[in-house]
Amino acid sequence: MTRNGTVVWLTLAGLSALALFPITYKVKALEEQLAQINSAHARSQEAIRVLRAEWAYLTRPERLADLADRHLDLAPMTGGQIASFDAVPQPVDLAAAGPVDPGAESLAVKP
Amino acid sequence: MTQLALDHALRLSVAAARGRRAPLVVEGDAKRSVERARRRLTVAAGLFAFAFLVVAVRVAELALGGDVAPRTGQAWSAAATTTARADIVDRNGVLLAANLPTASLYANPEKIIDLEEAARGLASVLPGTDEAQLLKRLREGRSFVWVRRGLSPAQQAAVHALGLPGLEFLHEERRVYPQGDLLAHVLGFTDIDNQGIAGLEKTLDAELRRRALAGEGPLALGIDVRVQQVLRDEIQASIDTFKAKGGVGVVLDVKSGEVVALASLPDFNPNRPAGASQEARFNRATLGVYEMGSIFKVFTVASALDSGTVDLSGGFDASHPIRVARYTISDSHAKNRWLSVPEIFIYSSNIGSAKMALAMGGDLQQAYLRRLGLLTPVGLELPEMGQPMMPRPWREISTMTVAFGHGIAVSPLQTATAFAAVVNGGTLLQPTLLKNQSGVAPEGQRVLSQQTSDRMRALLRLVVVAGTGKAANVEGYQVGGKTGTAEKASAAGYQRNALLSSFIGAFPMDDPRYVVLVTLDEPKGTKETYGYATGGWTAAPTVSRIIARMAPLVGLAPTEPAVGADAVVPALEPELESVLAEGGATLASLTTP
Repeated sequence: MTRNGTVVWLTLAGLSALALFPITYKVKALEEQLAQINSAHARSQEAIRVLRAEWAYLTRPERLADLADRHLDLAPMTGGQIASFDAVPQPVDLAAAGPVDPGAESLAVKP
Repeated sequence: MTQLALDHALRLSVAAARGRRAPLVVEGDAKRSVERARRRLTVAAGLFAFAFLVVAVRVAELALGGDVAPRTGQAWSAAATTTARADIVDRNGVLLAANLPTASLYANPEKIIDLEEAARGLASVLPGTDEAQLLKRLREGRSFVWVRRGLSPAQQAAVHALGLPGLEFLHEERRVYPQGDLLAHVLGFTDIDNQGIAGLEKTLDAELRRRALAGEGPLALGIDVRVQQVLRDEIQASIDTFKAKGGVGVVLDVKSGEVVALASLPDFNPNRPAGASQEARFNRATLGVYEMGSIFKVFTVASALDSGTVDLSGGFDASHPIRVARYTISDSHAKNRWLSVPEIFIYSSNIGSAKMALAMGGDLQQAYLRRLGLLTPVGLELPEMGQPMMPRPWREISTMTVAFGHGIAVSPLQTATAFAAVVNGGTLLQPTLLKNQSGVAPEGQRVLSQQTSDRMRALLRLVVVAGTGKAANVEGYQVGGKTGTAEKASAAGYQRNALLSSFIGAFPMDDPRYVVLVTLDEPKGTKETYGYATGGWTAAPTVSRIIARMAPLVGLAPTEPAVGADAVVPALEPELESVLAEGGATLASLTTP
């Protein structure tokens, strides 16, 4: 009786040990993977910081003004080019205008 | 006896074979040894029991969770990528200062096999390295010698490729300023150990570190890089045109007190502050104090109107220069007659404003200047703050000269701050470089009445419409302002040819949003300006160009309909006409010379 019990417990212990091995290895592999991802993440974060600084450097107004001057036929905006929405002619309100011929409506939205 | 022992042994063995406990009867020597064995067994059992108890407790602890940290991989934490200093961005989020990772090279000479070879190799891959000096430092016998800090990735790879032992990299951070020269005087710079030693970097050193640690993200300034670029670009253009020594520009939001742009030229590249000259590192906008000249008439007239000393219908006789002691106060745009208050202002009459200040009295004049913050240093988040210089004691002659901006020296930023109070309805706001995150205008200090401010806005608009500041006009934006030309003081007195020419303006004048101040240091007249180098000829057109470029950028539409130089703020026009009529003039007579 006692011996049977011992055998059962030893078998169970052996089985759980066997089951534990692959899990341990799996955890180790996952941990390595996590470490890699972490360091890749940190590298990416650093790269983002560097790229943000580079972007700010390349889009600094002084350089943009110079590039626009050399490559574009654009002039600085003047106040006269700004208008309010009130100055824009409003389109006719189709719904308020009553029943409309469907063909005409589609023409209105597809120029 | 023997029989008894044998019998006992037999009983024992039988009992053992049956697996049952039998009463033990032991006596004499045997009893003692059995007792000893039992004691030993008890001790051993006790030890085992204790060990099992420990295991059991631990198992229970694990099973119940407790605070036993499970073994996990190191999860990514924000701390892994935070920097030592928070970034600085402008009001629209454009990056102004950032910490970048960089590698610094140091040598351990004890591990270097051939010092000469190492020095030669390093000098070849790191341009700018003095081979002889490096060798000398390597030979000093220390085990840690900086070779170069802040290497670029390419240089790092080149050093790696040398394959020399004893060379090590230390990963550090370096402060970079992507905008280059643009905001040198605002941002300041840090030393190689990332300690802020000038500008905002110095004032907000602790705050930038705290933000980085707390992961609070970048620090936002009220500066707008686009406006800053316009300001710096136009002032630089004027410096080139008029061959000036330098220039200052300030753009202030009159409603929030935010400094939108601040330029002091010449400037420097904060990425390489060591190469900057003393002059370039001098912040003229905040540290420099100057006699601002006729711009001070804004404050003289405002305080005279506010205190009720004069009314808009009042005036003073400006037909003769004033002689006091060995000084003569005369007008550069002399009319040689009685002038009304608006005329004194728009023709920038020194005589008239001196008499106005005399009528007000020195004490009242000082009280108003103090209320406008012109007698105490203005607080801004910069360590480079100039102390205003004023006459001591404040004599009668001081009252007269201060009335037109001589004998008192204040910083350009201070002038702009006080001017903002004059045009924004009479509230003095604390200027700040930081962005107003709440969007709620800060509560300022009322220094002038709303009525005084309204009248001053009308007078300032008149200066641009009909007075000395015509060149500052921008169609549709209702610029108002005041010119100022001061002769620079030297040991030998005032120099006629060394001028400080300024224009301070605000727009749009019916509801001012921004104050723009431009000061040029020793501009020279050109053929286009008929040799004049005064504020109206040099700084006023600069302000005009700045406003024309910046107004659309900050989303200000021109007043509808776009009006010409002849137009005055409609709401102010009737009041002005009635006031001018009392002085025997009309708006039309003023606008047509």
